[in-house]
Amino acid sequence: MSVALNIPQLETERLILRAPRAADFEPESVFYASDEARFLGGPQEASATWRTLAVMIGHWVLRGYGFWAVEDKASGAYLGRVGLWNPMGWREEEISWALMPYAQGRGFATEAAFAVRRHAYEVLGWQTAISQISVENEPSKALARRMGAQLETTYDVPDFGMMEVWRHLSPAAARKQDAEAAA
Amino acid sequence: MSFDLPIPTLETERLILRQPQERDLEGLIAFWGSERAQFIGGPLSRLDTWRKLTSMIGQWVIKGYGFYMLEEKSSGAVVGGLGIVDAEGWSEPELGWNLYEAAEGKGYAFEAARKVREHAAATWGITAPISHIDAGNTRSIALAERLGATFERDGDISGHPVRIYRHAEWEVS
Repeated sequence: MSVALNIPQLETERLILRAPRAADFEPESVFYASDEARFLGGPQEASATWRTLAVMIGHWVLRGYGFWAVEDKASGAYLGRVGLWNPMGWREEEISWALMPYAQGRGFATEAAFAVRRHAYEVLGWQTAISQISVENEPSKALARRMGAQLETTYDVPDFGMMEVWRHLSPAAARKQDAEAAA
Repeated sequence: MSFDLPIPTLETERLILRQPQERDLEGLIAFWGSERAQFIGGPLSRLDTWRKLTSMIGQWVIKGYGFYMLEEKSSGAVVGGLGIVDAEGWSEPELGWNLYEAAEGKGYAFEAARKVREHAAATWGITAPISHIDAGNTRSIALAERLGATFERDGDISGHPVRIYRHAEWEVS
């Protein structure tokens, strides 16, 4: 038997989205130990962050999609992760992003999120997607708005607290938005 | 990135040892949700058991070694799991096991452990692993001792105190 892992590499103007690897654990564990991770289920111990990395890889194996590591094309630096997430018990398929604090504010998350939305719709054939965002996470909500997503509902998620559910554009509307951005 | 990590199936007289798969989920949920998991971090919710399954698969990818499901040859039923566990917070690779209730008392864990130790030594160079065991888990302590492990020191996993047993050096033939 074998474990088949097929993680396509995606590329944007400034970013490489690649398979997560063991070295990503270092910056992720620093991030997840800090209060900066409070909107994403943290802070948490290094052992829990390692487990999350292992879960992310297992998610790829079981679902055929998951989180990519986001790398700065110019420097090769690890910037965070972006992905398509649907673990057991999840509300529905989600587009998710989490950039390291040092990588925020330069539009990297936006660039990466558009790329994975395209992958979800054009490659995987998703018909819709949500993003779940902590009610206090304003930068993330701003990104959802930039993508044309709309606030649908708010509910209490165990371990995460009150989360807003943002509904993304339909595949057709997303295609139109992508085309306008490229023009 | 695309790759295929081969996980050779191992075989003993009465068991097949194979990689964990999605179809093992319901069995794992029943086990991890029960009191039988009390000494190894359980009971776990269904969702945390899904994370357990995916992280077991992820550990195979990250470390190149991991945990097997044990299938009873005669029935095809999964009777538990056993293998090498290694994660952040572990001081070194561990031989870990859990047996489902119906399979208790047949020597399956012993049989599988011998096979995995042989494979771990020959293939991964893990010749004398440890086992973390809760002091109250008398069945597991008995199995560790039957396997020739001895108590080495006290330790902890994520703040939970455990006894650390050391398995004897495996002579690779």
